[in-house]
Amino acid sequence: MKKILQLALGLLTGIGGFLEIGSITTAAQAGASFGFQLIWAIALGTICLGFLVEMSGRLSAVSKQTVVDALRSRFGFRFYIVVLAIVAAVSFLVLIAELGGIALSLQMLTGVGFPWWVVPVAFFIWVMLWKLKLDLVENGASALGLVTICFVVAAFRLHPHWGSVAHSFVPSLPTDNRAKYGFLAVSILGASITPYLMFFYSSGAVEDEWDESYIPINRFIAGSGMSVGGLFSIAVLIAAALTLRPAGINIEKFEQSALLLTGALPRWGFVLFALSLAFGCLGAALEISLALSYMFAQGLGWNWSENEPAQRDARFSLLYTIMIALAAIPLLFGVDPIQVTMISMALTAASLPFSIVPFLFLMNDKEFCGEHRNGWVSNSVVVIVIVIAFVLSVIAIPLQVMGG
Amino acid sequence: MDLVRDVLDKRLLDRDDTIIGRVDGLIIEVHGDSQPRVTHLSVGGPAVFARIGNWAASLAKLLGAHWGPKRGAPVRIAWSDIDHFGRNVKLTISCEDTEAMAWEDWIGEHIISRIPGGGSK
Repeated sequence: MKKILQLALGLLTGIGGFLEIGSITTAAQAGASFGFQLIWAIALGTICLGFLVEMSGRLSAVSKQTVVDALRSRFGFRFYIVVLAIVAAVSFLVLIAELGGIALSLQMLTGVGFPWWVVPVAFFIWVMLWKLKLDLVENGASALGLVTICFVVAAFRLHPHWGSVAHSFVPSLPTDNRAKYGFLAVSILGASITPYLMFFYSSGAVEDEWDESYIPINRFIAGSGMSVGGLFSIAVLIAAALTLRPAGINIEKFEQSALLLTGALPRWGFVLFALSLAFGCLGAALEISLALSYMFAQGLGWNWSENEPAQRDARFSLLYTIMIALAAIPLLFGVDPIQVTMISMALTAASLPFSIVPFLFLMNDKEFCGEHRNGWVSNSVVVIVIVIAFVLSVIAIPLQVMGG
Repeated sequence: MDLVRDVLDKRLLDRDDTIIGRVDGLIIEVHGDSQPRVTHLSVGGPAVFARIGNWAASLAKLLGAHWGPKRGAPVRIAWSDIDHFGRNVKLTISCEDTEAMAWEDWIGEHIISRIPGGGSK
């Protein structure tokens, strides 16, 4: 019974927690600029994420350690600190973007500029972490995130040509604007394959005291949760391709890109878009704040339970408090959340080899995973996608920077 | 036993399974011609900062002199207080017997307890 409940909640997190500012912005930009053509990137990124999430749950179920614990134990301090610095820096940028996403959605709903919303939003997130237990934080945010299903409804109501949608699962190159195409592909991969999610998920598995009997459930949660989540992203792209592209709108202001939903849902589209953005980013901001604190606390051997009162794990609680406060500062000065999003998604893609390759070594290590080590399929899928993401980012990021 | 593989960087649990840190360093005594002997594990700063680099160790020393719990010596745990090795290094002593939690307690007392609501969930 407990396991069925966990299965349902795991699916809820996968589905309701999938869309956030990164996946919405990149998918909408891709649809607005290139129609259906970039669907393959979402599919590829989501498959890779599904494999990685499954692996991190399996590692924790077998070794009773989190990914970060295992990284430090296996590779030692100097290696851990380098990985920590890279992943923490990138994740911190994403946290800024998510806070900004919530503030932007409030700007859409009220007309009051987003910098005014940053402090109340940051405070709200902090209070949730300060006072609520992990399950409530995670499931509450994911349940609210289910509102993002409106993108799927919109995509269906716009009657896309399903043949062309299916065709776009195979990668192809556009005839012009290839630099932008490459950059968007990189950003989509970065938005899908988020290392912080692995750290968050494996910490949850340890807090819930998973053992080897959870391996099948874990596989199901990771597989189906992530694939349904990926379909939500594809729905955003389809809706953008059929509404923003014909109107010639490129997503620089979210007020305009709400057309993505108002085309199919004229009455409620605008509000639903803002709510989807708000709740999607809320879930992600909570997860990233915790994941950042987990990275430090677990690696350095501090207490780190999100279920204990702040007093019991003082250093851990202080850390997320500081992170949230710091992330709010650039937004207060009006830094554009959409630009932060695009930069942080591309940097995530470029940083993947540093976070994922050591993790793959753990997944093939008898000492940590015993007989539940990776098979050749999961190893190959992850390696191939990481190599694609890295090569694309090395080519596309400089081109984008030079091209302005 | 392989010190680097089996001891260094492992998580330290006290006798009640409280996480008290990680094995950040090993202290080895060398006496004349006799074999070198591991006498202590070191936990937290300055051992951990020294592993980043000398600049980090000096910086931490400077900050620690003005701020924080101002504990005297670096935290050392005697080799004889180790119960057994495994995924974690398990000790026979309680965290109260060491100063390993000095920072946790100091931050809890000076910062966290001054913010409303930190005591319960």
